[in-house]
Amino acid sequence: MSIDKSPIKTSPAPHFHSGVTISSAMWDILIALLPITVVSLFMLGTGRVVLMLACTVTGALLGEVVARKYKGEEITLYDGTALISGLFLGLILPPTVWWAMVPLYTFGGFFATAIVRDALGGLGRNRFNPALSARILLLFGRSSLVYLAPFILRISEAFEPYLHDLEVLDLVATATPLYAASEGLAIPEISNMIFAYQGGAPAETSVLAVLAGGIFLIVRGHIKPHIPVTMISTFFVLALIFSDQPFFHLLGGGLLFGAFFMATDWVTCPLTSKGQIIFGIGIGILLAFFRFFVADLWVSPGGVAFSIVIMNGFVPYIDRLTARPKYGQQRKG
Amino acid sequence: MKIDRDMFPGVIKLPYFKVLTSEKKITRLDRPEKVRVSLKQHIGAPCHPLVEAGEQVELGQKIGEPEGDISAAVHAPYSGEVLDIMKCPIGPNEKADCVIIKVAEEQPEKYTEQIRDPAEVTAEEIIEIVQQSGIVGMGGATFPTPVKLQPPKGKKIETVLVNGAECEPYLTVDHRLMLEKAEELIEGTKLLLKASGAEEAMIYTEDNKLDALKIMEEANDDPRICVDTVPTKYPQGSEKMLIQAALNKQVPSGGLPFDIGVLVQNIGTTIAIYEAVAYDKPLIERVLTVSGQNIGEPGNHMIAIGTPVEHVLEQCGGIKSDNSTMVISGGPMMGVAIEDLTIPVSKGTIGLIAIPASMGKTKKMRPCVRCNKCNEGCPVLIYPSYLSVCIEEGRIDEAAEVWDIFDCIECGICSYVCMSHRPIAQQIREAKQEIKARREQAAEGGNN
Repeated sequence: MSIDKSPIKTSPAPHFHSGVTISSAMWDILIALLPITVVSLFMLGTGRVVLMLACTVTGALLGEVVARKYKGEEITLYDGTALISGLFLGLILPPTVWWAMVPLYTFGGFFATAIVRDALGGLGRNRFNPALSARILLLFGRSSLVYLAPFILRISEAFEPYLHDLEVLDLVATATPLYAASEGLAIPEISNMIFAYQGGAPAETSVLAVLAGGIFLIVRGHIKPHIPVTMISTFFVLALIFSDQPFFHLLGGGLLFGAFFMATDWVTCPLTSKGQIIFGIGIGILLAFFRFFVADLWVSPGGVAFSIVIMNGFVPYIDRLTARPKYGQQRKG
Repeated sequence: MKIDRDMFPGVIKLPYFKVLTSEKKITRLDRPEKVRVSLKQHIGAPCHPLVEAGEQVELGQKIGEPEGDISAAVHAPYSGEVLDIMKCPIGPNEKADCVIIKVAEEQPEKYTEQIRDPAEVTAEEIIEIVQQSGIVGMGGATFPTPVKLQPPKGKKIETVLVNGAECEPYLTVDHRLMLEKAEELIEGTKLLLKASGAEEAMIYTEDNKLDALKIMEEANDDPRICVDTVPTKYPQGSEKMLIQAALNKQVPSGGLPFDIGVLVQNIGTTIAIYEAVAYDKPLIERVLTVSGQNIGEPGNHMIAIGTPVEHVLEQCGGIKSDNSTMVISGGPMMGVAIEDLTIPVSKGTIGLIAIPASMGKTKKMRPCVRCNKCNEGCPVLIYPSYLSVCIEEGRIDEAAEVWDIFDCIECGICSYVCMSHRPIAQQIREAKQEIKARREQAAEGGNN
């Protein structure tokens, strides 16, 4: 019991820390993604979904390694941020045939972390949501592939057996409930969309599973309800006005996943509550515009992604406009 | 008027560890052999010594005379012989002239008999006594109390707030004082009312100290004094936060409480004022909490000013761990970690905490991911996340002009919650010093 026995350490105040790290927050996001991932495995086929997620995650991890090496920064795969970006991307992409997924989706993951995140700012500084930006890139990429593939495939007879896949590629890739509706195909039952639906991207397979994850994130304090609530309700009100099937538009497609998981991305959403409300309303309006006024199928599957990424661009201005008054400034003494 | 007592965000839940000492009565420890009394224990100019080496001093004798308007006298905490007056460390990277006194074997009994009736003294007399007794704010800020009692011309103090919201983890000094010296506290509050000319006084404690509230309510015999609670929430004990919770007012940015007619006093200071007036007792000792997981016997003790930290820790069972320990003067959120344990206890030492160094261990600093936890937790509603990034990138002027760095009260919540382990509070402290230094330099340059 003497003082010399124990080495004395010093550090600047405060001498307590909450113990929360970036990685522990990322674990919570992984848990939040679990329900929707499990449902999608059942609905879309384990092999396809696993392959797809493996492609985007590998690409995202690789992207971080390459970009950080190039910039001479520390590689921090352990913090889970690249993994989450990859998973997000995988969950919002439509599953398709393996020979399209492997190169394209891996490249998408790579693009998300290497270009959108690390090259355009770095962790915490990127202006646009990495997964959504990659989604938009692939939207254009896939469309061009649909046109180019016949020529590529004819080059080699070895690819002959895959030719029939082409038709599948185009159909499966866009077979979201929204697509079905626009093509006059049978509209799925609302109850199916809520519990489990077989089509679209993994994130679109179950409304309930997405909600469960989103509520978990809110309860754990990682996101606030402002963005999802304003974004969904703004869109729903507009859907009531401009569409015959408002519920269908609300539940089909990537709206809910986008609202809870993508628009709430810390780095690319406003900090202030007021700002988040403006941001959510903005996304809701843009999405309604894309869904109801831009008929082009080329654009509408990416409506949620477009809306969020456009609003990402306004975040610094929204934050500045909505900065709260500090203590000692808001009320007359 | 309905007061919203829950106005500042305060989203963090701290581990308090107050149970280690909250039931322990204030006791005295064995005397040290030597004390080292610093001549600078307050904000403002240091005192000049009134004694020389070899001289005999008596308990309570004034040994340091204040210089300038903002300063406070220093007294001998024991009878004994002055060994030396020399520059000694009094804190991390801080040295000051100290009077080193060899404590005599026999100590006189003093300050046990009331020599004045507090009801009879006038406001001027109180301020004079407080001045002579070297009383400073004992909550850690050590601002000379007489200066606070006399606001500048044109400002009037309307409300006295006695701050019993001891919000830092571990510390139970004010809690014990409220329990054990409730009557003295009420008398001291009456003296504050008289000295400041205020109409009403409020004693606030947090609602985790309801036993103290009950005892104070029983002791309170003055209708001008109200005793109440505010929510338990860090940093409720900060002057600005308490004023907001208690009075629904905010101190204007860059201003002081007297700008809105409020005087905030610490519990210990209020009792010291009463003891100075009634017993003529100068500020020569104070209560501190000695606590933490690594201390042998946690407790609350009356310690003479100038006692070496080492002596206090040894008397409390020493440090009982083989792993790295952090010794903190003050609370774990705002206190200073000390390495040199020979430094003395001063008027502003509120506690000595020995905790495992691992409790505050932070990992390597990562980029800000805009998780917003620090901004949500900031009690003065500035944006620590932007400040941190600005300072990191060297944009210090922007920190001052755009992000209100000087409104920061350095409560440490931002660093506590940061998942990227950014030392935000430390960044802000350093940047403030740098900006001040630059401004002084600029001002000097302008004069030449």
